[in-house]
Amino acid sequence: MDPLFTDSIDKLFSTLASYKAIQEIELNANSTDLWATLEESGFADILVTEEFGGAQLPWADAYSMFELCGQYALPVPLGMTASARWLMSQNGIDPKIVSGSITISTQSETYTDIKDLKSPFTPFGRVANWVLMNHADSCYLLPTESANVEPTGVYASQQAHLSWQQLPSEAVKIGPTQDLRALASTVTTAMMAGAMSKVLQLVLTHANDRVQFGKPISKFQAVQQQISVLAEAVQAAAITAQMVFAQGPTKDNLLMIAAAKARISELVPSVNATAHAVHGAMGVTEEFHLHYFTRRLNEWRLDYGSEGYWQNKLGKAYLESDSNNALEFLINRVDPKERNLNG
Amino acid sequence: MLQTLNYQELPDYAIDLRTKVRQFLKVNLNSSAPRRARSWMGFDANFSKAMAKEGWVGLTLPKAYGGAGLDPYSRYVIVEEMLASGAPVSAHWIADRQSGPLINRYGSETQKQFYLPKICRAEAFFCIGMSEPQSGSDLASIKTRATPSGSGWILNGQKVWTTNAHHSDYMIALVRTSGTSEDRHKGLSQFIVDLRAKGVTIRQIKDLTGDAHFNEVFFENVQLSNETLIGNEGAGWEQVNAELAFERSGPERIYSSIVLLDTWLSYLKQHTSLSNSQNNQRLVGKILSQLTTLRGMSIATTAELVKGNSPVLEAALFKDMGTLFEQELIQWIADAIGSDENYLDNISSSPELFATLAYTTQIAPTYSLRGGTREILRGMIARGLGLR
Repeated sequence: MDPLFTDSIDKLFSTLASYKAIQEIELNANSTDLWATLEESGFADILVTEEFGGAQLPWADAYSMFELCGQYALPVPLGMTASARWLMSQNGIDPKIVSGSITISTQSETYTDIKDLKSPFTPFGRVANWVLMNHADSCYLLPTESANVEPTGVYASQQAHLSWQQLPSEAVKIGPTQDLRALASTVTTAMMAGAMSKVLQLVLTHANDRVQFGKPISKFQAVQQQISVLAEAVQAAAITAQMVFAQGPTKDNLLMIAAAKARISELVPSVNATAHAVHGAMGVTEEFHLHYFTRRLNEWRLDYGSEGYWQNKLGKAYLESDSNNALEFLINRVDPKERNLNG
Repeated sequence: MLQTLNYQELPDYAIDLRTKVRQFLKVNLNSSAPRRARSWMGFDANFSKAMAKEGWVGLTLPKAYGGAGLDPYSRYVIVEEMLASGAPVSAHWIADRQSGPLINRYGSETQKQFYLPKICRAEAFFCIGMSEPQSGSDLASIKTRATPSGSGWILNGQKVWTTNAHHSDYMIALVRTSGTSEDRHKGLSQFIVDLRAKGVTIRQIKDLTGDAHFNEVFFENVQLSNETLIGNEGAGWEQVNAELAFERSGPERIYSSIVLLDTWLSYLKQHTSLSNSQNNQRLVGKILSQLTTLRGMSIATTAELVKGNSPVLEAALFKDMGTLFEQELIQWIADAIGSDENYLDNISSSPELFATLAYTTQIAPTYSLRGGTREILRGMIARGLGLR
């Protein structure tokens, strides 16, 4: 990854995504100005093929942008939009035919039998302009403008239940049904890794600042050992998300995506528990900013399938495979590099 | 300070080694699962000699001394294949991983020419003398002492928990050469002790599985020549620490119970009712997803070694998570086996699985003791995070 690329995104997000700005968008669901600035930056087009005026970066090179979306709790679906525009350009469709942000539906994976136009618990559903979802035998972009948008009722959550009476005339057909769970899970793994790294930063700062019994709580061994385990989880999540991005959301990469979404989701409960334990009561107040990240991690863990869902997929794939042992399976079917050499 | 590691791919030339190693294992490895579950505790001098013939002992040592001259990526692949099969690599393990590289780095030309070719031919097996009865995790408090005497040294004291001392030719011992225990890290030095020398007594310690790999080693006025001092006098602590990243970053920190895993996976595949169980499918996925991550972490840490860095903290972090995985998967599998309605019938027809489970369950506590305990590692990580 190009450090200049990462730095410029970091700089942009740090000016755009202040805690105050995040909170306003979470509560009012008005992200028009923020989105306009992001659109201007061109980062939503980094994966789009050159044919349609994009930067055509490989997923691996674009990783840091997705990671930073999580690290800043960016309250708009920039990562989802970039991935949706990638998919459009891959299908020969100019992403510029729609304007605005795009999120990805969490609806069922049974692609052949999706009749109703409902997208429950849609991440970023309250702010996105479009939703990428499967319907009947096709994949569409549906405008949220003509949708019934119902918040989930969870305070400050950006998720929403979206539904349409019938296929709106503005709907854009992208192609046949797509594996949107894999696409969105790819994006989500990086955002989770990013949010976790921010949680660790907050924990380190607080543990060193907060004084009890006459010394910073970071000097207590019981606290140190828990934070060390937290750091292990953060490191594990970062490496795992990067392994997914080595190939991106390709069909061949499905088991790597499964392994990653399973492992990173599995790490959420302990990461959040330690972070909140270290912060004490302060950590669960609206005023303190830890919740911007832990709330998102809780949602992202479940979005597009929690650890159990993907563990089942991966385990079933092993038991149905002709692999004789675990390493053989990982090398032939999961590892992004070796799988291709062997396959 | 702790660095965020980045994912690294293994290079093609390293991956290419897999085929050759697998062919070798097909011919040379045919022991039962409970035997293979000994993993890098499994001692078989003939197996090590056969590996040496392939050029796979002294993997990272220079060719000039008979080594393979391979980089850490290649070593990762060869070791991963060996461990995943449960090959008995214990005889040459310590020399290949630590003692050989230590001698190569700090040894004199005479020492290199004497020891390294023997190591590479699997004719000299090594053990490491660190712990003492009163010095476990607190290694700097060791009391075994070498005192100058004429043209050499006289060694007195005792080591304990010395793996393979009873099978080994040499011990690299960390001992005090000046000051007292109060001086902590200062005044420690490393010697290569010939275990057949007069005054060395080795006593085996049987473990709870009935194996004996640990030993007590006593030194009573053992004469050491100046040529047995390795590196600089008083630099023992720095020299020991330089090896820690090598000791803690390798695949041996995730594969200790892999033979149990693979035996269980075959058991599932043999019983349709078990492989159709959603609980079992989910557990297989959980284990494979964790293993995927850990491999990624190990390879990323290996990449730092290739660059010439010493990722001691990153290795500590990986080892803590890896050894927890090796231990936990045993307990998960135990429960998965025992949750089956037809547990008794099924397990009775798989005595190897039962024996492997029993062995790994009992020995698993050692996974997170060897090479630095969990608590020590977490303390190191905390320091790296700026908490201490």
